[in-house]
Amino acid sequence: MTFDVSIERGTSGLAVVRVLGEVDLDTSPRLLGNLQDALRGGAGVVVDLAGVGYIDSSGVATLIQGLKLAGKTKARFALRDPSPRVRGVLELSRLTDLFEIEGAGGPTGG
Amino acid sequence: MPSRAYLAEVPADASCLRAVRAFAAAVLAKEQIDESERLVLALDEACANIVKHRCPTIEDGRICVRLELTDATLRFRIGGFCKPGDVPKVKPRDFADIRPGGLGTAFIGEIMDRVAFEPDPERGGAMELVMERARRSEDDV
Repeated sequence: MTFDVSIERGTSGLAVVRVLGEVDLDTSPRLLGNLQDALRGGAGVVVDLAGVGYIDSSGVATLIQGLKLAGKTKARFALRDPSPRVRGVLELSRLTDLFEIEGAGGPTGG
Repeated sequence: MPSRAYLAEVPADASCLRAVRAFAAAVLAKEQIDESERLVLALDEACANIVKHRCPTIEDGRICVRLELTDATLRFRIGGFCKPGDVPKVKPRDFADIRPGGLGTAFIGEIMDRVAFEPDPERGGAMELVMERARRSEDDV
C-alpha cells in the first residue's frame, strides 16, 4: 500500500491528519513533517490511524514528537481508530496511557 | 521435522524495510508460526538499526537475513550489523522514559527470548534474534 498523508482543517482549527499505509523508518519523517504543518497555528491535531496497517518504533517516536510539539502550545493531540495491530505496538511501548485515543477499543484519557 | 532456512538480501536502505517485512511475513505464514506480527516487528527493528548504524566497511551496503526454524527455535540471523564498538550505542531505553530513541531495541528485547551479537571485523558482524518455540508452547498450555 502506498504511503500517504492528508490534512483537513475544520472551522474549529482542529486538523485531522489522515495517514494511509505503513509507518516505518522510511515514511515516518514525512509523517513528522505533516504533523508539524498541521500543528502550526491550529487548535490541535487528531491523527487518524484507521488506514495504517503497520507501525514501528520510528512511527511511535514520531507520534511522541507530535505530542510533545502540541504540548508546547497546549494544543490537543489525539489518535483516532488505531487498528488492532497498531494498538498492539502502542501497548508494547506502554504508551497507550500517554495518548488520547478515540475509537477502536474505546477512548482513553490523554 | 528437519530444520529449514530461508534467505533474503536487500540494500541497507530504509525504503527496503518493507520488502524484509513482506519476506518474513510470507515465511512465517507458510510455517504457521504464532506471533508472526510481533516477530516481523522485531526483525524490522533490527534491520532498521542496521540502516541507521550499519558498518561502513561493508562496501555493498546490504542486509542479509537468514530465518532458521527448528522444532525448538526460531532464529533470525541478520548480517551487516554495526561494528562491535557501536554495539553499546544500540541499547534499549527504559519504557518509563518517554522519548523517541531506543524504543526499537526495547521492542526486540520484549519480543525475543535471546539477542546476541557475533562480531566480524570483515563483515560488520551479525545479530541473532532467537525465540524458543518449545518454551512458548509450554506457556500456552
